[in-house]
Amino acid sequence: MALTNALPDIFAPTKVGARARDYFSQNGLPNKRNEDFHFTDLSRGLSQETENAIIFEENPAPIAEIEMRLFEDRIEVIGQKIGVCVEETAPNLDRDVFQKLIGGMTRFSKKIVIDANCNVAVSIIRFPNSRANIEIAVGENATLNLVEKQICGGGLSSFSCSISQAENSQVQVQTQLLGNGVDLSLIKASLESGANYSEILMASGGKMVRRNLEIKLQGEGAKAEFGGVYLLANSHFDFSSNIEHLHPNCTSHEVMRGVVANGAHAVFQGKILVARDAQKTMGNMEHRALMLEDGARVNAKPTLEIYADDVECSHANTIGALDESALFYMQSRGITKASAKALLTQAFLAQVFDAISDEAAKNEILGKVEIVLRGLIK
Amino acid sequence: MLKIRNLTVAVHGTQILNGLSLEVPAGEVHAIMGPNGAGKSTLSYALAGRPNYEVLGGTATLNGEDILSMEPEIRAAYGLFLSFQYPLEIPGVPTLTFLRTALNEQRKTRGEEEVSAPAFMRMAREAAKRLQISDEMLKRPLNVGFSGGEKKRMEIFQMELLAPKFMILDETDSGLDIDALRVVSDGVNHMRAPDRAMLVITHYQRLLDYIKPDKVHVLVAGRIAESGGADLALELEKNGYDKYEVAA
Ligand SMILES: Nc1ncnc2c1ncn2[C@@H]1O[C@H](COP(=O)(O)OP(=O)(O)OP(=O)(O)O)[C@@H](O)[C@H]1O
Ligand SMILES: [Mg+2]
Repeated sequence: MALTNALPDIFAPTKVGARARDYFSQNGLPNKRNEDFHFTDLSRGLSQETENAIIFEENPAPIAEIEMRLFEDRIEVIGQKIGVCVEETAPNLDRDVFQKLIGGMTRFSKKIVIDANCNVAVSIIRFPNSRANIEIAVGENATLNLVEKQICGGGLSSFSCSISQAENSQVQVQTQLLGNGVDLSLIKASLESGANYSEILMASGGKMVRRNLEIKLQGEGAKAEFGGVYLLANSHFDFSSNIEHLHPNCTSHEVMRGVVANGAHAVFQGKILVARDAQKTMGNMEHRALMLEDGARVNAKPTLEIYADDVECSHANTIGALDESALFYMQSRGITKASAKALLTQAFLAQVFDAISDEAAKNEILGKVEIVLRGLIK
Repeated sequence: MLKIRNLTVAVHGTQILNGLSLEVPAGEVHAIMGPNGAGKSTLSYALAGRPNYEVLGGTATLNGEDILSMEPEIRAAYGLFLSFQYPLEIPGVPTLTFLRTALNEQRKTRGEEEVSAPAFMRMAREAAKRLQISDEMLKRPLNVGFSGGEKKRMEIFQMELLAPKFMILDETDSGLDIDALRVVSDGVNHMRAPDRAMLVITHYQRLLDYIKPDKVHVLVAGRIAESGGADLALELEKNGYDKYEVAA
């Protein structure tokens, strides 16, 4: 069935955009019938009128050696470093409908190439309505500190970041998804032997926010770590992760915790795939959500797909409420109910970052968590 | 100081306290003894304002103020402290953070200035030393993984730092070893003052050897069945509660 007339005007005037428009006019935008979008009807979110974006921070001072500012009509690159070069590229995203969609929406693309043994800090600032794609090639033994910050303000935005990590490279990512409009984003990393990927994420949700994390562990001893928190009130956040163990002796560790207040909808879909010869895999995944009020919704779907026989994999998933007895105990010491809730919630979320060694990033995120919580808890 | 008149309380719809009356004047220590299930903890929780402990009738005033209409945290700021029979674990909240928040929120409610972090640390260190609580314990999340006795010691530590006017100790002695019992009792006695009073709930005379009560009350089936001097505890230890059970 052709849905051409129903298709919203979201595709970029690029070759990839034209291909995507053709594809989606044939197949329709992903909706609830697509298993990956069962809890988030993208076709609805993308068809709604998006309100005009408000831009709060026009020109913040750069926070890293190289800063990429993604705007609606351009990408600005600030700073340079020996051993790092920035080139033009086009999105190469075709694996599934989500990738096709983001690729088709992408207006601007850049590629960052980091030489072997180089050590660089890069920040990516996503302004409202930006639709950009960034590719990063991290050389052998190189280190990348990446910050992805979304400046809030509504609108419709998309973002994809593809990182390829050569042997023994280290990547540390700090992600702040604080937009409040419709946002589709994707971060993917492929790791050669001895490479490390570690990410901490904070999300406040928006009108419709979908984030995919896709990790491929494809070399001996590669290791991926992820710790994320979401704090939602009257907002939506759908997080989907796919961690593929494709080589023996790789490790992955993923923890996501979130709190939802009235009118919020959180989705967590996590998958660990272990290929047949990926023996001695260690993979675990945990999702815990806290419902602060009744009028909130959480859907969680953790999946393990294991084809090897000598592996240690686990997943945990809980959805609960704050412990009323603990709250009363705290009140009986003179702490107001709102502060008691905030303290317990903050502690619940902070546990995600227990294992994270990047103190600066951790403290920045926890500071923001505290501020958002103050608005969330009554 | 504390005046309870005809207090009737239901827990989740079941009536537990049946018109209980009790008066503890300033400067005094009163003990409450009574069989399991008599309503001793129910009385403590009702006074502290636990949700689902519904006051069906009667009054309770502290220095003339009706405490039953206050939120639990306001009662605390007003000077009421309950040492829980079963203290709760507060995951992820370090003991000192918890206590400094509690102290400063109480002070804010009373319109007093906040205590600075260094001043608070001095107070905490001093009290911890007296109660033989290690620095390591203070850094851990409150009560998480603490032994039964450690939790009780931590209750008294909190009590010392918050310096309440009226204290209810609900079986603070149970779970304490012989040395800890002495340390805790010393801590409690340290807080006795002419403008303070306390209610000590216990099953054992042992505690009352250390904390000498001015009066002993027997709580049976949701009301005070008998009141007497310190000797009453000795008599109860010998004869048990049989005579009250029959009467009730
Ligand atoms: N949620 C509840 N619903 C119904 N009954 C309850 C509830 N909680 C407590 N009770 C009952 O209230 C009664 C009094 O309990 P309470 O804890 O006050 O006794 P206590 O005197 O402190 O006993 P102990 O010496 O064992 O500590 C008990 O019979 C108990 O089963
Ligand atoms: Mg009891």
